[in-house]
Amino acid sequence: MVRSTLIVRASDALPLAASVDDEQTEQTLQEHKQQAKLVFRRITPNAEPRCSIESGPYTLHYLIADGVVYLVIADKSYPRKLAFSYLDELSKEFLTSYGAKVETVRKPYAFVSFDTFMGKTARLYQDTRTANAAGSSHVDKLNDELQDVTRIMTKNMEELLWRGDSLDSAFACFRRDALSL
Amino acid sequence: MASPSQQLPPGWAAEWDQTNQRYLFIETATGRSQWEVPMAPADMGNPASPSVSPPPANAPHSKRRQYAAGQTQAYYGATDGLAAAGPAYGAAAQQPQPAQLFTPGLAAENQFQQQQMQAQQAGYYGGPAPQAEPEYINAPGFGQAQAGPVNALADQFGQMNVGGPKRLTLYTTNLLTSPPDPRELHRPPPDIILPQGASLSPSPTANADPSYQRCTLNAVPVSNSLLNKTKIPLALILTPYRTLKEGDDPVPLVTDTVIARCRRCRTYINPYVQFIDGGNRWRCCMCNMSNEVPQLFDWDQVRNQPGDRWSRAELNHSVVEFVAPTEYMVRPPQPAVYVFLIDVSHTAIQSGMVATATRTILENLDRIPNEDSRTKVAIVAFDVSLYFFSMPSGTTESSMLVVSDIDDVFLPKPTDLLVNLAEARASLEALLGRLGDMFQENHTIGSALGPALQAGFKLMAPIGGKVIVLSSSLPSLGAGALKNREDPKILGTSKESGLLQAASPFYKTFAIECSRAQVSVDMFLFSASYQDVATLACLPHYTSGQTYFYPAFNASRTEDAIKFAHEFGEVLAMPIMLEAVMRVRASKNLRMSSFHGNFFVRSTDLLAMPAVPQDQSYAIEVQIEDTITAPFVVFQTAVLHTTCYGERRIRVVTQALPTTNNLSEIFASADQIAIATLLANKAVERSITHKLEDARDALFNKMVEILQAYKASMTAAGAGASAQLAISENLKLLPVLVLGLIKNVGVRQSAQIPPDLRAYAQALLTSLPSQVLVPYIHPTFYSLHNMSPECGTVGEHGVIMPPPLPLTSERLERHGLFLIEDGQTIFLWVGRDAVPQLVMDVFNLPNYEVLRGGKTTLPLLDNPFSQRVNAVVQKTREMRRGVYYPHLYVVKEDGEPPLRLWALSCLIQDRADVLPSYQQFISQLRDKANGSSY
Repeated sequence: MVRSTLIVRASDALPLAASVDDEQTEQTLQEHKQQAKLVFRRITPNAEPRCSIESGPYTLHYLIADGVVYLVIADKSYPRKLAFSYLDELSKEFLTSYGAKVETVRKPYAFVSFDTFMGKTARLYQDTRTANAAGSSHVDKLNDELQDVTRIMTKNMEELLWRGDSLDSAFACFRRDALSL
Repeated sequence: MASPSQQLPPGWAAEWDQTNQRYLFIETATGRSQWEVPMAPADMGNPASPSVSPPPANAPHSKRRQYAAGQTQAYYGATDGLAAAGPAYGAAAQQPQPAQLFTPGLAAENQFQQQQMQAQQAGYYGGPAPQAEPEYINAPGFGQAQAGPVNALADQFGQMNVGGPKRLTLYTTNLLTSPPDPRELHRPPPDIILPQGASLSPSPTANADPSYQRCTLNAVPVSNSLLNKTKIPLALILTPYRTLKEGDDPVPLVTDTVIARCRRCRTYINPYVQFIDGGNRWRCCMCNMSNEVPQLFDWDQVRNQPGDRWSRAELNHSVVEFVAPTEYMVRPPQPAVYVFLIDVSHTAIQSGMVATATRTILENLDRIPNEDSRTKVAIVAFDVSLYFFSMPSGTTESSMLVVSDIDDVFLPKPTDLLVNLAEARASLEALLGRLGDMFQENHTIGSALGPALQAGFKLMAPIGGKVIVLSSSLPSLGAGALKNREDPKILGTSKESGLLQAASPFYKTFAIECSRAQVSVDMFLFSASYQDVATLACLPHYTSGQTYFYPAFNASRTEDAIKFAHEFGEVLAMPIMLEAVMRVRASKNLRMSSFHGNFFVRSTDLLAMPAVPQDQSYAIEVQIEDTITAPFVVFQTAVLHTTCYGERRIRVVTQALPTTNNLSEIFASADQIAIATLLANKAVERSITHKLEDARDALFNKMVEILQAYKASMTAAGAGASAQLAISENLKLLPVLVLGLIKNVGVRQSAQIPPDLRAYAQALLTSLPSQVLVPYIHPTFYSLHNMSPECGTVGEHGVIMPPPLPLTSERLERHGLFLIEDGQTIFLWVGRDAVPQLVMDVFNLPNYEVLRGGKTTLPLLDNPFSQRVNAVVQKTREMRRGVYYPHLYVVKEDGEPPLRLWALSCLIQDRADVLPSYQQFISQLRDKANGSSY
């Protein structure tokens, strides 16, 4: 299930929009939101554009498109395909709505009105089981339309934050190559 | 300039700057520094002077003079002119300045000079950087400068406020011989005379406007013992979020998210700090901590070039708003949320409340703040059950879901109950259109208000926002059910204050729960019978909401419907501050000791306000903990909030006041309006915790104490008996305001006042800003039949009002037409001998006999007198801030006694029943002041 969504500017991690979460979500996700902030700070121009980072019971999926980072905190069991499909959809809509203004804003949460769209989209991507049980099969439909998201780097939060791994794609490639040697 | 320190005027010091290899000149009194050599004014005429930049020298000017921006610009023209006239000046002006002090990296040298001059001379008044405009060269200032450059420059010094500070002079009046003049109520509070150099900016906006923040004393005593000698309470009265009417300056906004705050006391940078260390650091005006100036402080982020520090709004304005960076956010800015809880029981339907309310919401859907299309709305109807309405987006359909289990409230559906206003607009409109009809046949009696509140809370708790309750009956079911405890026998007795306390703890605990979840509650109450306003008003009180009471509302009377629709509409359209916290900081040795108003005090001095409505007043008492040594003190109110347009902001109100050890100055600086506002808050609090009688006694005794203190320390009579009753001129109206308070419905001694009305009056007394509160305790009284011909016509400042009369029925004439108003109600008093022509002109009725008393709408007739009377009534309704739309009552001199007595009770200088007249009150005060040993 999609728990929370954050959208920040890649260059300086300035928050652009975020879902307004209730107190309970806010509390349970507090630690993970902190981690998300650390992730934002580590994003460099050559960071991997798509990445899933496991962290306890949740996974943080992020996507970088046109200088904007879209990050969703989802349950660990939530399908990665769906998460990235969700982020893709957000990025497309965000780009058309606010793309031109992203580089010029200075105040935080300048595009917070995007949360209306986020809320609606997140509902479409609700938990797979409830969707199936309801028979409305939103998710089935979505599944059909899913693109190939298999080549997504996966990381562990611990590795990333405490062992000083970087998010650079070059580095990751190198490591992959090194492993396959 | 070999050794400039020898040629310096007094008060200046020179210091060699290693980095720039030149002397830096520092004015020791203010800590201001500059590169140019400062000169004594006499030197200024000397053409050999090396610089044209006027130093803040000690020209002996006794008067502070402020020039309009245009005139200051004229002086720039003058400087240019001087350059042409005297070759030495010209040379100096063109001489490039090698380094810049306040704006490192600035390209244009000339610009720098100008900045320096502007900073010292005029400040910016918030306007864009003024260049010497050609048209100003022809301005009068230019000519003067040509005629006598020395005079012109001397004038500039005058502008710089370098003269010795003038002091407030104390004028003593005798209350026995000088009756109160209502016109004096509109006088501004005593001047705030700050020591020279206190403010960085000479802008008139550098100190807070009294409508935002005022203090009971405009000169703060240096010690608590000195304050105690005056007996005047020290308190701040603030309305940080007031409406801006036409012509009011908007609050300047700092958008670059550079917020300079003191590291130690967290004070925001303001016009009263000092720049030290070559402008790289600033000294906090409260705790004297030296702080670094943020790197981007002098950088214009919009144009990406060096900016001008002196044009920053926070250094020129006492009331500013900052756009908050991420550190000030716990979560992303919330959308505005409105949940309407509408009573649809039999009485509510019958009174027409539901129909009027739904129509008003419908008409005002466009006025609800929704700039970013995020605003969410939910409607819950209730009688003995709860009715939810699901409005899926994209349809015009809505479906009703009934929850009759009110013991354990649950939401029947997780989604579509709280809907986006823009998206669900169609279904919302359709629902509002037929909600009244849906329950038309509802004969259910009873109100499950508590459960409805819980349901509303559940709906919005994740986000927070505003709950608007519209209720016509006493809550009778579920949590928060109340009993009718009105008992005519205990009215007027000492037990009466019990009726003003909350009957059920539910409303208090629920309020705290709401405050935590950022939910604010507004109560609109309509009952004809007892509704326990005292208990219900608790909820708005602790959640920064407001209570509105329409006793015996009946929409079939158009006046009732108009009044409610107007006020409700204004509340809906009001831009609110969400998720707000307020904190007041003050200079060392001053402590905020107690807080009065609609909020919840969290962690000793943090005031939590889930949604701040406009024009709500708060009173904060201040304690002097230790002797103050500083020449002036600063009070700073900061309200961190989210606008209803999804932006996190901080509103900062800074007020600087001089300190004094002189008793007469303290008395001369007392602000009677602020004192009356504080006393109103304290009286209400006391009437709830103690007894109504105690509250009145406390008011009376406070007045006596002040008079005694004045007599003992300021008059020759000393402690002995005196034939006079002396008080300073600026406190002359305090006795009549206190009398008005004692006679106000909220506090008055009477066995006739229903507890609901009393509780409502008390809610008003504790939340109205001074501008509205003063007429509420001291009504305004005009004579209309003989007003001068220009009254009621449009003049320079809008409609011209007749002069207010003293509040005594001696002024009522038998043939006259009078208007009495207290901001909540307007009475048109018609004398019994009113000539038919007058009745004809105003009411379109043949004579006095046919005229009927009661609520009316005044017809607008085709004759000048009717138009003027209408204009006066209209102006009375519009001239103050706040949403209130007073009812108009026609009162006949020989009409129904209750109405007549009500109107006459506004004339507070008269004796009424057991309540003393002004003369009696004054002589009581005198006896008390003389009698007891001091």
